[in-house]
Amino acid sequence: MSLIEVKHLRKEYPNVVPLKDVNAYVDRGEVISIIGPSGTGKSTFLRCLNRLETPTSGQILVDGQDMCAPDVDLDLMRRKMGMVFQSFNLFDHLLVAENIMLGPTRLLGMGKQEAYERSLELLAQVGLKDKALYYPRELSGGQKQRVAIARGLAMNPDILLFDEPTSALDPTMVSEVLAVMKDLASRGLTMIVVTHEMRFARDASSRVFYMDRGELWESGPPEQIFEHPQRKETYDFVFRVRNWQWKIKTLDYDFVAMEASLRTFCARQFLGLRIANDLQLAVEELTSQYLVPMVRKYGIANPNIDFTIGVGEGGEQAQLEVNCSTLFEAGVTFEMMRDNADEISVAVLTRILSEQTMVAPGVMRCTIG
Amino acid sequence: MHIHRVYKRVIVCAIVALATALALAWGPVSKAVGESASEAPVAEAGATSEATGTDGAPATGEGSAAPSSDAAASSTSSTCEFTTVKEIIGKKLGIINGSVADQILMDMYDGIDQDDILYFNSYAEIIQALKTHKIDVMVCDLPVGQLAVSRNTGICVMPEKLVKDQYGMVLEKNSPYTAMINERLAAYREDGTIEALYKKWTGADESVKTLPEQNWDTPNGTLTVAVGADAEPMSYQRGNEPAGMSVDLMYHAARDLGYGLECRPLALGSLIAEVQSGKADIATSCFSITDERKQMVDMTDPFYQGGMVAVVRDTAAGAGEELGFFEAVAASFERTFITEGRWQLILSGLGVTMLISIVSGVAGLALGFLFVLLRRKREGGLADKLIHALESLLGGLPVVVVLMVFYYVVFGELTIPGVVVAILVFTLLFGASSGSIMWNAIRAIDVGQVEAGRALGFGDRDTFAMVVLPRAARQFVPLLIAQFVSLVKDTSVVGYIAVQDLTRVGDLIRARTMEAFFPLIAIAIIYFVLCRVMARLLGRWAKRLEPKDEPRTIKGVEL
Repeated sequence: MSLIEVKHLRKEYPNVVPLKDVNAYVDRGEVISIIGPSGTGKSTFLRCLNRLETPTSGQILVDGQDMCAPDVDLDLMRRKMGMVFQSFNLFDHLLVAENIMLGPTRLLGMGKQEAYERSLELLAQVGLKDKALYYPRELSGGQKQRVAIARGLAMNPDILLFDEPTSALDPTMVSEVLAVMKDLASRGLTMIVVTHEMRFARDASSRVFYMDRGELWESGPPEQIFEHPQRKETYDFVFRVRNWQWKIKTLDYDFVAMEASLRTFCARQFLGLRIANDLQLAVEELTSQYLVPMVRKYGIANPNIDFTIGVGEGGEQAQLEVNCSTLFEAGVTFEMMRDNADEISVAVLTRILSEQTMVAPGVMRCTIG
Repeated sequence: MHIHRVYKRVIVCAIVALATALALAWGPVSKAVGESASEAPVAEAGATSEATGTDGAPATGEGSAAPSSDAAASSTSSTCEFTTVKEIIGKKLGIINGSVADQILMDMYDGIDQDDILYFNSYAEIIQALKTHKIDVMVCDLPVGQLAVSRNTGICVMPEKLVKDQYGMVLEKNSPYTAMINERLAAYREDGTIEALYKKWTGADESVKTLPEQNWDTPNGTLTVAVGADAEPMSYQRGNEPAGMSVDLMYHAARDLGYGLECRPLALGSLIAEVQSGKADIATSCFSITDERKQMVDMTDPFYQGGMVAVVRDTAAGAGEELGFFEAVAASFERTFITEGRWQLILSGLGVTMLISIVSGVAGLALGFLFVLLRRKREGGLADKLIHALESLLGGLPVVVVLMVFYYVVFGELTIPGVVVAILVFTLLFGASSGSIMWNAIRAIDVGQVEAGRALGFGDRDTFAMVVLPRAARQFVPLLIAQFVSLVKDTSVVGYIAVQDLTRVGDLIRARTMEAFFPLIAIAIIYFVLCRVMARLLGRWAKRLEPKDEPRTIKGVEL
């Protein structure tokens, strides 16, 4: 029998239906990654599992016990299911060690001294033994999340639920949390992780759930989901996630939003700092020195410049494609742009961009890294 | 440590500011305090004998504004700023709240308008206003005027009397006691008792101004008498005891009628309400007999017939020997604290203020917490809505209004002591305000904290007690302390329902010394110190509840 079985799970709100009809199972020792676009029911699904949300209908069996039964002892069941939140939710008024000790001492009847020793063990496991007597406010985001994981582990749960554990973190801190999670996965703990970290999903899970629009479209081993998706929805998502696109329609485009979006993309793809910086620089120089001055010079009303960045396997290389066919039609060539730009920009771009080829009139493709 | 230093500096600054204000507002103070008392035996035998003749006819109606040359002769001086009624028309007049002088004056004299009249709570304040030129005339009854002049320099009684007037006692409409008392008053008028008592209470000899022992049989029960606490010489309060001519008269009447007496000194303004609500059988002070009053309550025949006079500034003032600032403060200090053991009165007032504040504070906090627990059960439910409505209602009403509604309306029929009503009202008020402070802090706690607690397996109650409450407490405890200090200050209105707290005691002392400034500052300093001390103590206690930065320990664990 599976550890968790979900049958015809449905959750309705007055205006939306985040979960339509979800069926799934999780076996003991499995690590499940739930991926999919934002706002499509992934977190709701996870929160239904330990009944932080009450399903509208359906059945959730945990260890054979129906979590939706009227006589279920939720407090008891929740002790078997730890949870790690996106925003950590550590108890700010308690020391790190006290955060971890609270459950075992109050709910499992463990002695204080014993609970403290155990909290030190758990902190050592997540690499934070020296922070036992810190307050949460004195820790970085990544450290807080690791403490939260230790707090979840302190109850010796059968299952640990992760609700986007790295989404609130600075990119630099994501890896320390993921490292801890990978370590837990390798120890055979049953984990269900809602995540946007595709690399974690691919490398650390035993199975991946693809959820979209309130439904579970596909589940299977990572190779299937990431290499040979069976459903069109999965294929589109997996493909899109690996590409970054931005369209500049007018000269008043939102430069800040474009930069931020590119940065987020780089972080999600685990691109190295160097390649991420180069990508950023290339897009910046191309727009400000090559494209925009020419658009202005030739008075092109709707420039419609497209940037597309695709990341190769492993994240060591990226491909940048610039589509400026409107300029091309107006008679502007890349040579003219280069001659117009200042010397430093030309030098920078020459260093960054290799294998420049024209794939179509006005469409240039080049490799970075 | 740094904070403590700042604290001290603030307190020192406040005290320096107070002292400076004291020095500036003091002005020239003359040594003559108390001296003229010896030459001011107010006894105006004419007034009492006159009363015998007119017997209840309203004196104000018979154009009696003619100057009575012998009236107040002893304290009238030719150097008065004004000498005739004509001169004061159009000037600013100060009268005491609850008196009918304004109506009488406006009825009698053309040219005196409502705009010319300012209302004050005590004679001490009127005298201060007169001296500082905020008003030009203090309107009061002759005996009061005499006392005022005898205890202050720089003022005098205007030679021309304003109005003739007569005093009666007040009883509930159609009271069974009215006829009885009238019959006794008539007898006392005949046998000279009234005249003797008037002489006794307006004389200079303070030692004879005592009430008889209550040692007679009381086969007919006990009468409750509300005594005006600041209308010397007719009725006032000395120490904690009532005193005054009209009270003495009631003692005589009660003895001869076979009743016991229970006297409660109260503010002038609340006396009639006291009788109307049945909390007292009789009210006695210096109530002028008017038709308007007679429609509302029973009034006895007059026991005194005097008149209304104008106290004005004496242009010869300042000629007297000036006291230095420190000598003046010392004299005021003695009058305010030492004379007649007034420090005991102040201590008892302080005790009452603290009793009301602390009991209401503790009970109110418990009530507020109960509100929180009820609201938490179901947010948006009936209890939540009702409590919210109660908080809005109490938050939108002046404290003094709530207090008086409870005393005179809600508990109007019951004889519950004022202190108890005050404690109930302030418990309710503090419950509402502390409840809403706590509730808002609790609601501001991130829902993620609750979810983290629940996800670990804690029940609703445990999560609230271990996660939500300790976190919210860090927000609301400082607010509660501030709210409590504000409660201490708010209790200063309990004088309205006849409770003798610190403020009320200050009023009484001011009424007796006829000095507005010093007792006010003294009371202000006591309040200030009380509030600071309470805030400090509570603040220190609250600090112990907060998580300490150093050293970091965990209870019950060896690190």
